[in-house]
Amino acid sequence: MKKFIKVILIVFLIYLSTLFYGETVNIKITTFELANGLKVILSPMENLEASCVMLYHQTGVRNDPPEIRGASHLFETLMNYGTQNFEPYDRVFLIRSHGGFSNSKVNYDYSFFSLVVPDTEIDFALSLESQRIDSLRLNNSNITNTKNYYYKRYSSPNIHFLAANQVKELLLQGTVYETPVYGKLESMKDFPNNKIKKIYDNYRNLSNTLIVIAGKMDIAKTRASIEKHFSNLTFKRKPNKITYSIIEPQVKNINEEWKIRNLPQPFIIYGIRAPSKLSPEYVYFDFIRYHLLDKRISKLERVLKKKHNLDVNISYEYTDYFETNVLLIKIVAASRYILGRVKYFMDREWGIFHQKGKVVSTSDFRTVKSLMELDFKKNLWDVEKRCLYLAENYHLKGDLNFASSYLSQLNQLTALDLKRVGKMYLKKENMVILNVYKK
Amino acid sequence: MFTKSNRCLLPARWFLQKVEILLLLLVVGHQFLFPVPASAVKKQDVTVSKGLKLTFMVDKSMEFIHGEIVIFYTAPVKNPAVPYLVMLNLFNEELNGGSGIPGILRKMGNDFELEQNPDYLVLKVNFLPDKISNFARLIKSLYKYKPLMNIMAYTESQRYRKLKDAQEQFKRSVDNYWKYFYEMETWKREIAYQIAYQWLFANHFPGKGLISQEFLQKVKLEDLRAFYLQTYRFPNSHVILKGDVKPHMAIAMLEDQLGGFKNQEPIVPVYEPLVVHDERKVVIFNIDAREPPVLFWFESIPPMNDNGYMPMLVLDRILYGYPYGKIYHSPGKNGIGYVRIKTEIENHRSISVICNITAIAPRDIEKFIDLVDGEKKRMERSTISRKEVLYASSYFHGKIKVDSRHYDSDFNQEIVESILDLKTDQISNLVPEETMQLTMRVINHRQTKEESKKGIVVIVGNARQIIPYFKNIKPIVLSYRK
Repeated sequence: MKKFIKVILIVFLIYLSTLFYGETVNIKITTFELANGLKVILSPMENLEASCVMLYHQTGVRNDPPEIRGASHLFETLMNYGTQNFEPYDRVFLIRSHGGFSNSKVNYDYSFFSLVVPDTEIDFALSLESQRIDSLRLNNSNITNTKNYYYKRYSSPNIHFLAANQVKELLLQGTVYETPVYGKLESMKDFPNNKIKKIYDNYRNLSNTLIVIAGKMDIAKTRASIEKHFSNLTFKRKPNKITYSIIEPQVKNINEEWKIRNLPQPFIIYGIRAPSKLSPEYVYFDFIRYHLLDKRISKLERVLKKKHNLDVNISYEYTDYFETNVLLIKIVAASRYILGRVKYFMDREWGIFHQKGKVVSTSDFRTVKSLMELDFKKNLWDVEKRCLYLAENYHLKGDLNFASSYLSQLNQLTALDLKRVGKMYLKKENMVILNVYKK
Repeated sequence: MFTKSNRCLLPARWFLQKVEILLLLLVVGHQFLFPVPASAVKKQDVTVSKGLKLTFMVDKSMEFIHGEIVIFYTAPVKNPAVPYLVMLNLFNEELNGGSGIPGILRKMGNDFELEQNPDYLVLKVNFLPDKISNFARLIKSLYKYKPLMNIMAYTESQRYRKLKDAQEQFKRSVDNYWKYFYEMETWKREIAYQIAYQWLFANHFPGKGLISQEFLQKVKLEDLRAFYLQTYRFPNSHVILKGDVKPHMAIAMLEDQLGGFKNQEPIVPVYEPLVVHDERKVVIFNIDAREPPVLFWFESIPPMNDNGYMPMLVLDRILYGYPYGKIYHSPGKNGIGYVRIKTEIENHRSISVICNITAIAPRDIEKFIDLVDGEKKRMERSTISRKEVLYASSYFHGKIKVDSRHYDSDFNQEIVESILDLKTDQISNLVPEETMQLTMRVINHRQTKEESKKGIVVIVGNARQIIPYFKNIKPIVLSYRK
């Protein structure tokens, strides 16, 4: 009997140890700070010959003055203009000529500009980035051209775009995210150029800036490169100290209808408030999103298209904000009749979270968990995504050990958590539903 | 007589107890005291007992596994619908009722992709290391798919019912072929390649014709069975696994799963020499869609192991490469809207095919074709400058490095080695160092006359929107079926 208990104990302890071992993710990180206050995160990776050089700025549209809210978004394009030693768009073209590519995003809470390059070009990428935040040539001509470009782009009559924006606005009313990221379209062209130029100071501010490099690198050489290109930068102001907090979903229960002339196919958008990135429910809600919408395992695809043979196209949009988020589910149907049936089945799907019984079958539960962990590990392998994970987690939580905590949370997720989170977020009283029909 | 005495045994028992505790601590603690370090990728080639070739690329820093199962076609196929229908019957979840291969893939996370190539089919799948046993079962199920195997695979009592089920499933796959085809994200690309290969290589399997309703109706279940038995065999397959994989464990699991298989003799592949017809054709595949048409421009170039391969890639880059490519600086570019070209290369045994792809407004299509033809004529008449060659070579050199960030970047090399019968060092010598050594004489010598009159241009879009803008081109229009 004692021997039997010992054997059980040994097996159990081995299982426990593998549990912890399975949650340990092997990410090498080195951090340091330059004398001018610029923080650096390096994450070397072996077995590849590429690197991502990212400058992450802890500033975004929410930091814009109210009268020019959205002006930061113009810098997604403005940052490609010339600098002291480079002509306009050299940043993009020169990187491309080396087989690499560039990327940029200006969001509400943060902005990043990244260059993915062969590992031998890290120094060159750093020189481009240091000039971008030090000597960008901003003049009235290029600012006006950029405003016109974005005005033309966002004033497109694309009904799907307009509908999605309307739902988002209604859901995020009263929050810092309520205006579109590019601001109010009617006032964009009138943003004073001198005020837009002042926003550049947010990007020059070294207190707001992180350099993150992931990929193949020689740490000592990379450090020396960073010192060479960035240590002489001196622009430093107070950092944007924002205390992020969780914004809870509000009661909405809005059901709108639009009738549009010459609409080829009717569609419906379900707008759902989703948890903040700070919330422990963020991972649980993401599970629900995977389960319902990820094309590889989507329950909605199975139910609507395969089981009930409805001619529909399902797509979704999920925001990437810190304090609260929005999930938009758009279903385009071949006819109004089919859309009616879609609504019936969707009501049943929402109802599952408010009834007794399982919300997810055991096999689906395992599949989704497996897929979330797989995707997370695949993303960590991607140099650009790794940079963004590191920077965002440092910004939001001051934590570079995010991988283990994410996997641990995922591992501990249970069906009860899903039910609780589903009940909280997937109720029609909190939704904005927009039906768009042909006139 | 000796009697057992506790006093005598006590020290031994005490010692054993201590050893037990120590072992327990080591078993639990070793994961923390001795974490497995990441290290260089270790490559290992193995052939298991049934003749299946395995390649392991062990990379502990990659905390998942990417696997590819490559099945090489061994003989020409008369009806181009057959390989696609076999693929549907094996992998489609709706047809299989969620069990079988789709069920196993689902348990692994359902993160997979199928690629149908004229020379092979490849199943690409990503999964976590703890699902390796499912991968072994996947291989077993793939090569022992009973509905497509011999009738004797079933017991007598099952035969009638199983045959009936197989026939019904086959009929559903034929009836729903187009529905499943248009559900593929890459269906436009698939159609374009079928059309282009039909013209380029009329005698090669994908060139037998665009898969039409006529071809589908001619297919019988026996055709699928014959193709399956001839093709899905271990000796003409190659399994490649990369990531946090333990080769010895994977091999043991596979040997266990494949134990019930008979030994299979290798089939010597029959390669028909490809006859190329690359005279200019413009084909519109008409679809009822509102999004901008997509233009695919196909040209044949020498195979990867030919000295002419790299010069053609360099020339292609000089012409199309953004932002320094000739088409972007040509006067003919004026009046044409936004154009960005994506380039794909398909490597076959005796030829390669380069495909340049762009989404383009209907009013700009003829202008774009004229622009490219004009620049090609200019390139034929003048010599390419050293600077242009260096830019293009530098791009390829850098791109190979940047692409190494993809976890499947080394897989293509393994597959090409098999297709071209080349060794690894022969492949790696073709690119990238050679690109920097290309001489002007080689580059300019490779430009053949009348390149501007070659190539198959396939446009997937709404013909009613496109044709009104054509003044000189007389396209062939093929129809769309849903």
